[in-house]
Amino acid sequence: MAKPVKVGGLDGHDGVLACLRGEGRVTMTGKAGDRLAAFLDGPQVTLVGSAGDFAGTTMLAGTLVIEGAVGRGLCCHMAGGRARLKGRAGDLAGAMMTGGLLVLDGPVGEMAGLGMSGGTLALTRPDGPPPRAPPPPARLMVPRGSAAGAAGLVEVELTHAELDDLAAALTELGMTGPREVAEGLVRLMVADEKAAPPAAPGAPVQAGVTVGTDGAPAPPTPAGSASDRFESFARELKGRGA
Amino acid sequence: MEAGWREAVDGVMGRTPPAVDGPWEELRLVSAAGRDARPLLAPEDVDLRAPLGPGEGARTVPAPVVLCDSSHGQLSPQARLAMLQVAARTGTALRLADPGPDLVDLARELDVPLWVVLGPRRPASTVEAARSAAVVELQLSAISPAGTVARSVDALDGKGSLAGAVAAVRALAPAAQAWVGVGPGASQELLRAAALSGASGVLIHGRTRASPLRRWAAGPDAPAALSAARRAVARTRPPEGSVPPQLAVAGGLKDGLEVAKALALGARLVVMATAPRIALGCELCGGCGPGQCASPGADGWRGQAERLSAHLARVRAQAASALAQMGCARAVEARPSMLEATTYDAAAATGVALAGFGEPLPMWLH
Repeated sequence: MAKPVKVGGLDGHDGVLACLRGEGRVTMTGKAGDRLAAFLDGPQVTLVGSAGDFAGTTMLAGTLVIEGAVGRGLCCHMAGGRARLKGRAGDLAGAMMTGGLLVLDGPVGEMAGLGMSGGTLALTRPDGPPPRAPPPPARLMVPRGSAAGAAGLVEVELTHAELDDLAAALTELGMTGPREVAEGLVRLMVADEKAAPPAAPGAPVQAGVTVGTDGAPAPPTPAGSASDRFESFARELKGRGA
Repeated sequence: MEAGWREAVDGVMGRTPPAVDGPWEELRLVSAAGRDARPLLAPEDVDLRAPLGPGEGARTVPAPVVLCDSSHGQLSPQARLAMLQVAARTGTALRLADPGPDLVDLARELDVPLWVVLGPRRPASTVEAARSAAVVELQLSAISPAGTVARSVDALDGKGSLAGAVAAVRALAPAAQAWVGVGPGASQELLRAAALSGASGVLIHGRTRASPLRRWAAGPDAPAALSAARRAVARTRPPEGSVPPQLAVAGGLKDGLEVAKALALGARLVVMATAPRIALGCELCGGCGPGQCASPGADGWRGQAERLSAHLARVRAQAASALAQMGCARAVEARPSMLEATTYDAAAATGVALAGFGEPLPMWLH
């Protein structure tokens, strides 16, 4: 592990730590501009302060913890990794997520989790009605009882495996009492989706070369995955020196 | 499947004459023979090469045609492999929404210029593939098979600017050309934002009549969308130190003549998706499952590759022949004045002079 890095004096700088790869720990103080840690791929980043729009957009791996408020589009298009926001989130937090975990500890703006097709959005202390529940395998977690009275929504208790995974992730994100927080959350689902077989937690939304753009996961290919079949053909092509 | 498309692609393949209505059919190429005194060109005199961007580091492809799978994941892996092999054999760029790590590795080995799309849905593998791509396209919105529109919500900032998003894409893939892809319904404001974003190019998706989405997608046909984009870019002063973005068009292009029309309307590159799919064996049934479209027949993926290669060669020959007849030694020399519209609607939408009228009508000038 590389030596931790501290960065101070941020004052609205855009694109800080964007596209950062590898390992390491970076702690920053101040006010970050737009696209903080966009495309982050591995490091652990902590910001003591606020950030602008689209912080953590298209995160691939690593952790991002922001202790202040952020603008809109926090971790939108997130594909992997873990992120936590302790302050207020603007609109479109976690929109279009395809993977990863986003934990929001404070009030949340509008359209949180819009168009999610994968990943997990956990709201530990929402101040309003729950956002629209995304289709599986995307997961929206809210405190137990949040959806009481909301028509068409059901609260589903987390499985033991989900609970363990979430508690571990919250520990990594520096949450106090992670197990208790995780145990207070339930998964919010649309009522008629509860009858459908659950997707494997953490499974990629679109595996191999089968891709949908409407948010619905592609059904599995019957005879092996497309990637497997492609690989065999690719080997054949390489063998011929094409 | 629409009979017209089958016939059109069969015509390109040399079986039956093409006879199909489409947005590009309403434009006609004007021969240079009666226009000026320049010596006529032969198709082999025409330089079809096109760069993938305006910068010096941009890779040049031998023809202004980009192959694209554009099948929402339906295309079979064998058909994708055939497409990759044809791209490697001909030096053609290959546009894929989700290449997958195996396909990217193979493309890198075969030195295929990959055009990777960062759309509203971004699996980690796609972002990873973008790092080594020749072109990275930030797709602002995509239309799903269900007819819904998904947006790249991080593309436009609070002021409607794309510049920050394009800068982020450039940081992700410094060696690649950063393009912006706009949907069929792009407004003039959005096109202006794209022109001001500092992007290397703008890909215009016109509504296509072949796709099963045609009943769902709103927006103009490709010639009209391309013409609107050309006007928007021409009227927008690019930021200091940058050059205007190149234009590329996708939507409903079936053969080389239509490629020449697109070049004349201002496109530097043409993305073809449906026609190559039909050449690979797609029936446009709209009912096949993921990874099943254009599954190989008895001759396997190599047979598919041969058919696609023949199709591409015919498209290039047709485009070269058309440009030669238009008097263009290079693709970039094609101009809208080398076209005429056969319908009033096409003339109004594209700004091309109506056939039979010697000069533009007043309403096209504002």
